[in-house]
Amino acid sequence: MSNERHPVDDLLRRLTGDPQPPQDALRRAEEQLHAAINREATRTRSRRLRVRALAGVAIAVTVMVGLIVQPFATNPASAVLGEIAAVAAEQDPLSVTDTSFIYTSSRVTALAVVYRDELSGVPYDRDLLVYLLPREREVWIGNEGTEQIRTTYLEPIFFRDTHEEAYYAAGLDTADQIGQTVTSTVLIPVDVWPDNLEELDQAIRNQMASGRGLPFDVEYLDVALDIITESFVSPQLRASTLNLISRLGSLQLGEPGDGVQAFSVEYSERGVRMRLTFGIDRVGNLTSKELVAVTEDTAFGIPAGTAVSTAIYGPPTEVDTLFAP
Amino acid sequence: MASPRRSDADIIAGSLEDSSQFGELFDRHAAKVFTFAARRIGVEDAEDVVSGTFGTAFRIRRRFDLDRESALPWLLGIAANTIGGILRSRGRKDRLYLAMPADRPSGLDESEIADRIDAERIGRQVNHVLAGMPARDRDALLLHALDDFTYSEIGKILGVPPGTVGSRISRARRKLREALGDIEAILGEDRGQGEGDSE
Repeated sequence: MSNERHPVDDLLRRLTGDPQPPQDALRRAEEQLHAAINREATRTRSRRLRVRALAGVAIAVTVMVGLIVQPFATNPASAVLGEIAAVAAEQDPLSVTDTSFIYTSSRVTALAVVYRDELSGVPYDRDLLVYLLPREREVWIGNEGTEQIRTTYLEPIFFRDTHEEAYYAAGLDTADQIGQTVTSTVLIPVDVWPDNLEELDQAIRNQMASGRGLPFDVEYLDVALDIITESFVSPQLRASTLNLISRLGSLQLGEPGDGVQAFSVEYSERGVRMRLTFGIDRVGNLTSKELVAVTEDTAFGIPAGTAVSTAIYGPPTEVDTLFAP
Repeated sequence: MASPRRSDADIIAGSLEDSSQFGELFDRHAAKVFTFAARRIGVEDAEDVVSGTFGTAFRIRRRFDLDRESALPWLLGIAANTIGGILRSRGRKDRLYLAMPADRPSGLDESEIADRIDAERIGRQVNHVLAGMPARDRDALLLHALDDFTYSEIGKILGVPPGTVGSRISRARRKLREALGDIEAILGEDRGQGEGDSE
């Protein structure tokens, strides 16, 4: 694993140049900061995030959204998810203040791929080293989009002995911080997703990746599920997101169980049949995601039926401490 | 005897009691935030990003992790959000992830104009490839390539282990290399031109 610069890095740097700030630009920005500092110095602190607002309006709007979405409910999965969305919209919004947080926990096992040239010269006869990396994560979401994340990295899971030998020989366990619990505070991108169904639809389309050779529904789902994954969203936004997912033509209804309804999408990636399954509870929380290679992935050396990514999410709750509840 | 330089964490902690201390953070990092923004959104909008970034940072400074010495990664995270907000507010569908310098010297001769057109073509192509890759890969690559963060530092910014950062950067580089072809040749030509330009 190297921090050295690469020709691609040099090209990017060369294209952007090394722009320097004009002095008057920094002076104007500094004046604005000082104005803010002065304002704070003269006022009493009273800040609360504006998340409780418009709860009543959200319910009314959801009724309208439900009417709009109805024509799209052409398969059982769409109908069931639409019903869950209607319930989600009527939930009380969670709130976060200067002294409280939204807490979520998850356990995720994700596929990791390392190219041979990143193995620090360790002899290895394949192009790719592939393994599953499990981790447990707790997230505390504060106002203004800040998060405390505490992550524990667990022992990796390998598909072949040669993968495991190369992994440890190259010191990737150190790079992956296996066995360690890492706490960090980050400012996450505060995507201000619109509540309105059509505007949200357009916003999701704008965020979709392209060029990966994946079907539209999968790329769309990737972004849409991210909105409600380990996140703090209003009931209206959750409902709109679920309603938009319910429009996806390839969405299939899975098995219900223990208050959770499963949905899935099947598709082909690099010639491998894949199945993405996700669980939604009665009130619209995302409870799980699982990606299974239905057929063998010869390029990655993954047997048929392997879950290449699994995630289980706890429901978001309000807490007033940065320690585990 | 000169007093030791205070860490960013010390400044932020001090600003909780005396808010005027926060201004020192601006003096230290404003230029870097400007360059970070200008490379992504252009010089014209970078001033707004600097202003928005420090305004937000000041408001939420209580949430800064005081165990961290440097506030720069935190500030750049806020800057990235501010850039995203500006782009969204303008409804840009074709997002740029790299901003090409627009203000070249006037009086270009024919070969310089051709070079510039070629650079713009490559720039558009790079932006197209960046737009098509997952944000997690793109962010990791740009933080490393443009802002010189190490894998470990990027891991702290993005909340993932350094090994994962390495994989993401590697994936992103491969996509660019596949799309652009012989990057060394492009750089070689550009270097040659650069040498010619520098008298």
